[in-house]
Amino acid sequence: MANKKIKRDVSSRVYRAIGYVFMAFVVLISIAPLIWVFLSSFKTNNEILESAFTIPKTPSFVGYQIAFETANIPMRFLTSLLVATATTVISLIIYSMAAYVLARCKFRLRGAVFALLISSMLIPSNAMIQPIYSTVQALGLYDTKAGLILIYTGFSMSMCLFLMRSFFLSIPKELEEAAYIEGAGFYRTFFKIMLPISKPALASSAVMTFIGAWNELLYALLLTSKEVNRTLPLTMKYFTSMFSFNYTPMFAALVMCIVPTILVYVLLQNQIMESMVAGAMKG
Amino acid sequence: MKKSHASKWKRGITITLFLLPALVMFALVYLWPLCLSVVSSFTKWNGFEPMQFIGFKNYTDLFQDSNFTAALWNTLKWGLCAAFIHVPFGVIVALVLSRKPRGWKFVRSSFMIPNIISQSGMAILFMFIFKPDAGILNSILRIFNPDCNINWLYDPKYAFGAVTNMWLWFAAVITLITVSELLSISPELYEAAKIDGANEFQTDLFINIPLLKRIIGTGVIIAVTSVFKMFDVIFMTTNGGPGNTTINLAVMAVNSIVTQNKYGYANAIGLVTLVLGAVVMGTVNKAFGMSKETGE
Repeated sequence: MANKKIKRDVSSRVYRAIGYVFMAFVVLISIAPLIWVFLSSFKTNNEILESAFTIPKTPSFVGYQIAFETANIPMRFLTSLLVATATTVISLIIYSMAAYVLARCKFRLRGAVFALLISSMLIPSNAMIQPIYSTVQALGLYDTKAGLILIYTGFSMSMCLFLMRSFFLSIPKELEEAAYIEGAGFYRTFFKIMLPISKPALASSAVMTFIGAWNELLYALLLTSKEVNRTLPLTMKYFTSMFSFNYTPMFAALVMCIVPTILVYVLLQNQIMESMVAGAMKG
Repeated sequence: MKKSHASKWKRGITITLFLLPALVMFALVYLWPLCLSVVSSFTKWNGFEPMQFIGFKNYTDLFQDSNFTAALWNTLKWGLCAAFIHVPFGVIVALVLSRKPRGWKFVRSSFMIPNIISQSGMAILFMFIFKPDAGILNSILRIFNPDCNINWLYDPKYAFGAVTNMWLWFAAVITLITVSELLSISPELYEAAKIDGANEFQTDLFINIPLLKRIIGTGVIIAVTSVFKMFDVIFMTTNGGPGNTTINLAVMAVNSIVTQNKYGYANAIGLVTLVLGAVVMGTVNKAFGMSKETGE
């Protein structure tokens, strides 16, 4: 018995060690390239071409200066923020409602409706540029933020429904039954009881929707033309064509485009993760 | 009796109200564009002149187009990479992190970062990594072989692998959904496993992975369908080249529209992608037993 326990402990320890190898690999591929780009953005073009490893002797801000002067990064940042936030809020509201009904209410065609809405995942949005473009134009939403919000909310549909519905399915039914017995109606049960305990699903849906909207490139490119409606990812394409032979401003532009996202994430992540863990414990 | 009839009506209205916004969204963003796609895929159409019905010609043309065969093949290969490398990697990281080893929070946060950054940002980041002259990858390889000067993204031998590696390992989305599922597994199960003498590997293999079946299935569907749609990374770097080594269906469809004004043709490509996705979803649903509902 004791022998068996030791054996188990040893194999678990080996297993954990392998786990640490995976963790090291994850950190390496996730962080190392960013640190390299960050350091390179303070080098001069000659230093970049000379060696990839050196640390800049005297930090140079030339790249940032050029990049900042050629593109309106702060405004694009705000546009992206507005579009992504609106998309997230709208998605959470409408899809949590739909997911709840699809998880809990028995009605004819329920399976069909769910299959229909989830099938949106299969529709290759990137291959439907022209039909979506003409739909947005027909609605009079071409070159507006509302047009982008509409399309991005549509794009988050399958992800949100999937996550929220399976979460609602995992909540014991007794909870709602108790609420009904205590006299709470359908709406009250949904908004006051089901939504608050669904925080993990809401949080993960929100994160994914936000990131999706924030990062979208193709439709932002096609559905907008005025500078006020241009989002941040478009800046990237602009820079690759502008500075293809001068690396410094490209490194700088890249840093300016990714640092805000990372900051937002680092600031919000504790809340997101906490609500996920807390929700899981309660559920 | 009368009352229950009335409340049935009320219930019907409530259900409809809750579903309506999502249904409207579906109609606007998917159904109507899809109908347009289907109809126009049987026509010759450049977007300005009226559609001209040509039957299945777009489809028969597709299968004689060498770009299409390459795009289809690449899309399938990337789909397999997503299902058999990307998702398992994400799940393994989730299993490691769910034990909360030292530094797990830091690893979790780090892993999310490449997924937080826009795809276009990642593409540019990798463009730098793969630069033949000043890129970090060749600089590292030069330590071993001073003459190393591989043009990763533009050499037909390496381009496919280079594009694949731009997304393959960044499976934090899979990790995120798997970890939240793992944290909801009852601790009593682990206690029982421990008493039975199971080590951690066995616990993962015989308890966690079977319980994760549905979420892994979800992950495979998410990963494969999003790889089928992959556009930004390719558009920013190789744009399908060199030749057609890194073209996929999405890039091909966009190019048919933007450079050739072949709308019907592009929409036919879109529909092929759709069928491909449906096949994957059906297969995964079956393989992972996901149609069986729990909590019912």
